[in-house]
Amino acid sequence: MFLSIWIISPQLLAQGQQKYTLEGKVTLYGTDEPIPYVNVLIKELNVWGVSDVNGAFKITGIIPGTHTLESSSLGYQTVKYPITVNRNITDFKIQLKEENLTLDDVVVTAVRGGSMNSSSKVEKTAIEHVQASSLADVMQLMPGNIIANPTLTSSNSVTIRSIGDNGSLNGRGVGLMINGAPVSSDASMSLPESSTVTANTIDFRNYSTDNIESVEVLKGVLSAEYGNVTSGAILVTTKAGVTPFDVRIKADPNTKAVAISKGFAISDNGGNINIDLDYARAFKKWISPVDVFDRTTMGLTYSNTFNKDKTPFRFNARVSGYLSGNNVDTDPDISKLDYSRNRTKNITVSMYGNWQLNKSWISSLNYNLSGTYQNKTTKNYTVSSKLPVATTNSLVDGISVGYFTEAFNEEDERIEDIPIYFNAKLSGNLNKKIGKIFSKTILGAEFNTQGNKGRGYYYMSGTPQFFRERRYSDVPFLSDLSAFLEEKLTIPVYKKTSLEVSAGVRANKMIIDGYNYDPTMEPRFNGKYTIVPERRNGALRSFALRGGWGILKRLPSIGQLYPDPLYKDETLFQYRNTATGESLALIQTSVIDSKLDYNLKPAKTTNMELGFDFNLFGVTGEITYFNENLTDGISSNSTYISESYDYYNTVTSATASPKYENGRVYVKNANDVYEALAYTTKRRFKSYSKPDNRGQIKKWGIEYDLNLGKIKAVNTSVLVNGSYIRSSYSTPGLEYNYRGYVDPIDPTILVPYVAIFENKASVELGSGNERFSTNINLVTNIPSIRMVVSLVTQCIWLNNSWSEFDENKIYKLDSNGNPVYGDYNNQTNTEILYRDPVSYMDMDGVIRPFSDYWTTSDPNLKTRLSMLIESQNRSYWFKKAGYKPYFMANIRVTKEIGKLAALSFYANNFTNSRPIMKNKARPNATGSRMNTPIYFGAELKLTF
Amino acid sequence: MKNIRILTLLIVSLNLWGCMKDSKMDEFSDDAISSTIAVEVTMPAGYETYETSGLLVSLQDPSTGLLFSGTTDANGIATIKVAPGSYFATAETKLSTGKVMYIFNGTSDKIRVTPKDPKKIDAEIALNVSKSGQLIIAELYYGGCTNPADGKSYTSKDTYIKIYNNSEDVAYLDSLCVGVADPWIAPSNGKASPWVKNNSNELRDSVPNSLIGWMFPGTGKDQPLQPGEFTIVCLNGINHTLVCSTSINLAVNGYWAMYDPILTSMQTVPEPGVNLMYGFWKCGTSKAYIVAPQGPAVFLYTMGGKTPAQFVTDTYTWKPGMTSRNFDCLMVDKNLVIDGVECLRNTTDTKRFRPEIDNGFTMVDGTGTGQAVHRKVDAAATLAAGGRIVYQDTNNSSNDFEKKSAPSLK
Repeated sequence: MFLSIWIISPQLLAQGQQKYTLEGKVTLYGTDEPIPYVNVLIKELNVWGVSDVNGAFKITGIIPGTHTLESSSLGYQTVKYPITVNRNITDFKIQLKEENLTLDDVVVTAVRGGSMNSSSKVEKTAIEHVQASSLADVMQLMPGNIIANPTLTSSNSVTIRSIGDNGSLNGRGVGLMINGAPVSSDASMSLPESSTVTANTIDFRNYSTDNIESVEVLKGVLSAEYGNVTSGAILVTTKAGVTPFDVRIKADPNTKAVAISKGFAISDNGGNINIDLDYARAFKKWISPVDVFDRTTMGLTYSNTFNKDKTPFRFNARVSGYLSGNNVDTDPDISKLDYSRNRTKNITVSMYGNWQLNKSWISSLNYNLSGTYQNKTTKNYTVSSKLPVATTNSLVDGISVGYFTEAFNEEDERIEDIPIYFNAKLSGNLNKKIGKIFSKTILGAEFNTQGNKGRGYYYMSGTPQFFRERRYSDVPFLSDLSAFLEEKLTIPVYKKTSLEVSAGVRANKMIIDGYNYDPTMEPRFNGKYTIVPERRNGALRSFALRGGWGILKRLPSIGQLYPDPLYKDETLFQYRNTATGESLALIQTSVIDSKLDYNLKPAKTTNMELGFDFNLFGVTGEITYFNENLTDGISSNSTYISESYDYYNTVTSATASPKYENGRVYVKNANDVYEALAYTTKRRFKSYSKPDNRGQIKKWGIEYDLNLGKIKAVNTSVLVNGSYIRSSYSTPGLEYNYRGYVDPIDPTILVPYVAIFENKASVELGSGNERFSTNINLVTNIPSIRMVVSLVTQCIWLNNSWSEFDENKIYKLDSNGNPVYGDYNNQTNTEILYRDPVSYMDMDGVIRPFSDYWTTSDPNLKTRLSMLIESQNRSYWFKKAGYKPYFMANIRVTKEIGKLAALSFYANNFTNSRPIMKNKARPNATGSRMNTPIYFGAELKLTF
Repeated sequence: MKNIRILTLLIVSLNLWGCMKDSKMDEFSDDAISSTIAVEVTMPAGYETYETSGLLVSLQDPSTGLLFSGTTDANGIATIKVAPGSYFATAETKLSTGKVMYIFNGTSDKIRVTPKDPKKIDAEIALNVSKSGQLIIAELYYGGCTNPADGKSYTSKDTYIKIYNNSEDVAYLDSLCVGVADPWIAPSNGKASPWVKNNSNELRDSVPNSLIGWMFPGTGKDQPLQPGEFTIVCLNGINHTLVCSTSINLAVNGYWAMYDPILTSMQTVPEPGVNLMYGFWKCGTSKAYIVAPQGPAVFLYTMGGKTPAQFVTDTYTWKPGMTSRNFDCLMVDKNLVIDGVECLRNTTDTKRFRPEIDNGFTMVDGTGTGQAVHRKVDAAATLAAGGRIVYQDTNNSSNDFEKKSAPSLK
């Protein structure tokens, strides 16, 4: 249907469609001084022009109507106002103010972004005011987020509308786009050194903020042009334009940083060059120099607009990169020898821009090409005394003669991880007016490919037991091709009220060796009905209802699609005689190369949101209800094979000289004659992990962002924002579980049954979290002394977590050992609670219902099956855990000293309020300290 | 400024040292020793005719180290003046009838004395009876040493137990079992052991053998141990000095290793010449045996004539209150226990052995120190035995054992 509009309508309507031109001049506020390189944009139409050295600009192809004109340039305050174009305009005047703290309305918080539904935008002034060490720190400005102290020594992940991110399913769903090009970590195969980030989430600490012009966070139902995201997208725009030299020097107890940036004009029409350079060094503990993180980031951007008069062509090219590394030495009091180092080199080359074609069939074209090469090397050196154990490097199934590991082990582990990414995205834009309805159509395509050229794990010395090298470069590249189409209509309804609707669809096809993926479709809809258009007086000064519904998908990473082949080893015989130097190790190996026998699906979320924006007596606000349902999240499961092993008796004779011949071990007897060594045959389960798509997050919440206006007497704005989020995580479906317990009847075997549970092999079904928080921002602006102070009080009203109870499936045992089922949820259970598997599997793969446990007359079967039951003895397990409300105050100050310098300071939790609170579920347990520890930092910015 | 700080520190330390001295030396004023504890010592059933007068009763507060003592009168009551504290009273005696040495010992419940308490408190020690053993644990080396090559501790590798024939008759190791009591590490901070009788803090009448049941092979007289001889049961029967110069050589012919090719497949294989203990029972998922370097409670026992399979069936028990099956135990009746030594990490830890097995405890200074606990030689008995070393055996390792800076093996 959308396609038909695209194809048919130009022929029918385009000829008759009148388009106008807007020409004018941009000057400095209150003067005639022209400002060059100002981007003048008609937002709704995405048509634009750039001012030249004389400040003159020209925008062509404007469909008649009332639109929003936005003028922005680095170093000047962005202005936005409505403009009605019903004829060619030639002498339009735009005046811009220099951006500094003498302005009355400096914005140092997040403001509403450009999308129809939920989005927040943070500009450079706010980023500087929050004194971010990395992009992760900027996120604390987003409504509903919690304030955190900066930490650069461990990975920083970001989640959106999330609490208790199970399996990093939300973190993985956050898309980061720098100048429109997606940033990914999916081709990285070695996990980061910190356990806080697991399955391929982006490490945000690698992105410094000095080169950033603005950050916009999109939530809810994203436009169809954004793919491979489920939680939301972070759009970063880097600086492009003329700027003075900016030098930033930053210090807090754990971090020292310095950054320089400058934007040059090559010549009048030669375009601009922006350079930025940043160095940061962070210590994990300020008292100890043994754990250090270093980061150097560099960027070079060339930007220019060609053919300004007719079909302006905006061209940007950026080369950026970072070098970062962690050095962790063991505390010299423990060991002088051990260390851990990693170095990451990253270079990204991108070209992006927009071409105003102004044709009847295309208004403008967006293009984006980017490629990233990253090289991460890790060295872990550990010296330890390990007893010699039998090992093998055999890569084939069956029995092999192995060897013994070194006793004094100098393990020199190396990891080489070289992910490579390429992205190309092209989209066309067509603006039309059909009667009174304004239509904007976007059609585009995107191609991504990614892979890894690294060697993976290897050892220079001290190879651990049963290690096998697997080169990441053996894993094929993963590519995906997407196409998207979106139609947005603005329909005037009555007087000035209007309805905006957008409908889009994104199709994606994953192309990867060994798998055959069906294309996925992601429909997305958004709508907004402006019932009361903006007006200056009255009680209700504006009111709009908005909503959205859509499906978003996130592809698995290549590490998830191509897990390492597994080698399951069992030692059959060991003999080590140091006196004679003889030794023999026999190991039986089963190789499991599981990459092709299952298909992992992309994670899928169905997002819905409903909200309203209002202005009541000058108090503006946005309130949004969201409901996000993630399914097909990647979860862990296990599979089992059974193998027979011949365990040989241990030889205690020093003259036995054992040998392995014809598949058997022979030893010399007392008469020096070889005879076969006795053995016992046992069958065992061997398990291996096999991820599946059972992960499910059900989440809903309410976000609110209120601007209560300015208290004129003290020039202080009051902003209140926050959210309530409730999220529950579970893994519906069957989970195979084998604990590997020794059989309670025969100690030489292991329990011969695998338990099969519904959802999860534990007493509870899953887990849940809820949080209700409010941030009260008091922003005081004192233009006369060029100072802005913001005081943020963070209130956590609710912060609960719980285990999901399995109704009618959980029991206690009475004195006769009979189960007593009941509702043990939300109460203190002083007796052990049990939950049975639904079935069990024997070594031949036969699955029987677990009710056998209760009905069998075989005491041995009953004893063995009892080992499969899950139980929980913690009396508080099914009580809601949480704390009473707690509060924290934070302050940020920025003061400009003339035009040359600006000094900033912040203190998180400056009253050092860290009350010890009791967990509601465990009143007798030791309390916990709430809030983050007091933390502070300062920053000096010099401009010349 | 710095000097003042040092001076302050010195004064504080001196004061502290002064206080410590007071408490250790029992130099209390009459006011400080405000209360009297009257401890009555009673003999166990069947032994009521034995004398209870003239026994030494000790009152010890493990948290402060306060120690008071007294002697029982003709009625078996010792009246002792004490300072406020929280005490355990212990008493022990031994009586010899012919060849059998009976040991009576016991510990009271906790007795609390606060300044506001009545002046006199009555307490009771019900003595338990046990027999002094032929086979005894003469030494435990469990804490490991430090490897000078990497400066890290070398623990849970070179652990050994020295078993000694303390009698004048040949002993047989056949079917003798070696176990480590659960919990592997003694409960701390006043927590009770999970293995107590219902509604009581008294330990059960049987001892939980954790993780693996080890037994000397043989059923009759295959493994003799001559009077005055010892054997070694070790975790890893290899020459540890090749890995760690400060450790010991356990690759010695005739030593015994707690190794089984199936049960402990992840452990290192002993050198040839080292005998293998027989693992008759195992629980949990571990593929290696553990003797806690922090302080194990090691004991020797027999199966009372049962087959291993029958013994396991009769004694297999889930650990109370525990949901994981890694802590299942065999409950060994106290009468089957031949000897036991309780090693704690701190003096305030809760004991795992009943008084009949070990009425005290012993310990080293920590892991990686290279220290071992040795049984003291009974000089008089050794002299009487004509120079064959006889170790002291009162079933109280506080008396019988001493910490030494090194194990006896090299």
